[in-house]
Amino acid sequence: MTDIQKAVFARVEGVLLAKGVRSAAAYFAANAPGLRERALRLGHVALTAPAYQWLGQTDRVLANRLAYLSLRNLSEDRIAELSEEYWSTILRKQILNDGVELLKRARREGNRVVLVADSLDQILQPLAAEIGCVDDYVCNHLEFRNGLATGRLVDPVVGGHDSGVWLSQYAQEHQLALAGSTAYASHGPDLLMLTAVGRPCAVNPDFTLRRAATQARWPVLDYHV
Amino acid sequence: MFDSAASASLSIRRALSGRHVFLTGGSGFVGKVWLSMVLAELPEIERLYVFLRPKALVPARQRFEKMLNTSAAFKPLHDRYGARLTQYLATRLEVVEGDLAAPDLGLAPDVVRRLKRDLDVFVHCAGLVDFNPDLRKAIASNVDATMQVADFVENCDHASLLHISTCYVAGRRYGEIPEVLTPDYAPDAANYDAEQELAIARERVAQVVQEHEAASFSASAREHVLADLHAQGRPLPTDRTLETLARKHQRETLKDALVDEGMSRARHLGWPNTYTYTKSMAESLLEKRSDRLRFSILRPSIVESSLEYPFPGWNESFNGTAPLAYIMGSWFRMVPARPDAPFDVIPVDQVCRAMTIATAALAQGCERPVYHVGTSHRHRCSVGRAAELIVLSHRRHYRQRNQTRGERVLKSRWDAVLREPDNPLGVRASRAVVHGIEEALELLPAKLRAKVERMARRLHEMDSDLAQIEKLVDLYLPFMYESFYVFESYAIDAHPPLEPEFRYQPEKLDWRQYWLEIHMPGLRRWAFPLIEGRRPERYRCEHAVRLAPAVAPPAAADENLTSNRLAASEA
Repeated sequence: MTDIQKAVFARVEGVLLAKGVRSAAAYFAANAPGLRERALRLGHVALTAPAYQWLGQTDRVLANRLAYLSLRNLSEDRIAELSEEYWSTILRKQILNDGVELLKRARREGNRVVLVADSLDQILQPLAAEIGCVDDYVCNHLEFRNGLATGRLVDPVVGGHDSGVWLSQYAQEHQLALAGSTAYASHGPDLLMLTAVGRPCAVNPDFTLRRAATQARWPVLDYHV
Repeated sequence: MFDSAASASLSIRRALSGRHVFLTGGSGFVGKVWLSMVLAELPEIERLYVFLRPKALVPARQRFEKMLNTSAAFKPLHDRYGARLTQYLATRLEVVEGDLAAPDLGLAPDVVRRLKRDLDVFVHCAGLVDFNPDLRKAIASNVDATMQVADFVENCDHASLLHISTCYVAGRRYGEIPEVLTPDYAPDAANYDAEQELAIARERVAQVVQEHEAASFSASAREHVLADLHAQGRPLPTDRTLETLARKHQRETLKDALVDEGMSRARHLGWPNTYTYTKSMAESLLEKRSDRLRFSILRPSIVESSLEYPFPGWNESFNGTAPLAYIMGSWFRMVPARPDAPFDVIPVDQVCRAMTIATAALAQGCERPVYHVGTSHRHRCSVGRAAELIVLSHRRHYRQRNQTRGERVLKSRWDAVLREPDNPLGVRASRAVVHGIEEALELLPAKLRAKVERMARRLHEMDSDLAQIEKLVDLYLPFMYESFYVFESYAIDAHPPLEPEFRYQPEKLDWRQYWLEIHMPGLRRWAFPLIEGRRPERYRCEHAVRLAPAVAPPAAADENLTSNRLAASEA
């Protein structure tokens, strides 16, 4: 345990990355083994896309569960390899430098930097390594059985409204002062996470969060067009 | 079943200290690594005899020097000893020349005398490892040579034998295969007798040879050659050329017939190929000597790229996964296999660790009759997982290394998939389609046929490629589809080595890392060039070793020798 008393919590999707869960799921689906399987999985991603859009504001946990269902029966080896590929060929170019700067500045100011992501650990690991100033991250994990993905996410699933509850628990475990901490988020379901800290900030917010941030007079940063 | 209570730690260094060890097959894939490893790690061995045949007028010593100076398997030795390697080897190693098929292994009488008096363990690693060799050659290398070795060891004062065989002597079987030596074992024959079978096989070989050397066959060979030349539109050859071509044809036909004979006898009795059939025969014949010969049989599974020694990824094996992995990187996609079946691959340096343990156990007198050295029991990798990792490795390779857009974009995503052998897109069905198109083209009027000549040529090439793939698939089908083996592997744990550097630990393999970062890059570096008819990179040592002609070792170790050993021991 370090002596850092305050922290910066940043939602990866929207703050650090321009791409989210659907893009990753589509990449995995398009690179499944066998042409028939690819077509079926891509079909699944396409069908669940509108549901994801809709659930994204109401039940993001369910939205994530639905999106990752298309990874069912993909091998752990393939997911690891595709994650590396997806990271190096697509995601790396989608890093929002302004977001990285926010974190670096926070780190310089003595904050503990914690990432919160809907993405999978296989994708978040290289991202955290690339950014370099990350102390910890929390993300989603796929469940595997006999080396194959079951399509289910391991509980607790990150992304829902309960990220505020999680944040309070995390702060307690790590002896962090939430009143002096900052949170950067982009989506409606992150409202509770933002209200849990003393210095909330909406970054590239969606419609719901922008409206809430305006009402609550939180600062709003727009750097991703 | 292994009795865990009977296991006792074994000091490898102590067990092999001052021992005389003889090795055959030192120029093979496994033999080379073991030799290099033993020379590098076990300076306690008093004398190591390396048996080599002279080849094409090149004496064994010269062959050995060339091997030592150009094979990457010996890199750690060169790295460690540099210019002192010649001197180091002179005190410990003796290259002996002979012929495994001859009595007393064709060794010089003084060598025989010394060996009979001093030899402690004979490691017989030589053998013909082709899956479908000419039956005559397979019997000579895998059966007759083993029997000559057994005779030799029997006549030694106190020597014992470590015979390297294969797990797949089990033949077409399902389930767990125990580490036992069953007398006169055949998977599908009830009253099998190895001696009788050897006699039958020899008789069949003689018959086939006789048929192919008969005058009528020579005449038909000449007719065949003439017909072939006529079809190619070539002029009639001279009598002498015709005779040479006919003899060549006769030789090739005889070889094919002997290959077919071997495969049909093997499959009739329940073995997947001639290699396992002859290896099993040798085991059964050894078993008959168990009352008068002290021996162990070490059965590795599919021996593949090294994990650590001589360096990660060293490979020289063409009968393992290399051909299969190669075709999975081509445009051919449908591989017939059972995804859930175990795919028993073991790194060569792990096999060598097990060989060292078994050699030490024999020297110590606490050996087990059979050792399985594989991963299906202790740390299983399924056929499905292996295939997935091969595909992912090709994907990584095509994305990163190749310059053509087609390979980067298309081929990297052109994943091979495992299917049933009778899949409509499988190799057999594909060949049938190609044949169908070829036949349809034949029916076209002459005018049109000339227009599609290029297509017909392409189809013909495609058919010959598919024929090769079909042949390969047939060879591998017994391992990938028809059997479900788990080779029990308890015996090696009966002697856990005291020294950690000699431990055999296949459980520590990380399959993903092994296939993607070690084995497949190793195949790409060392084995694929050979499949493509290219020469793989050659190791060039800084200080070439030049061995002096073999001389009898001094009666007592001199000071220099002792200090060398101590230095090596410390290193």
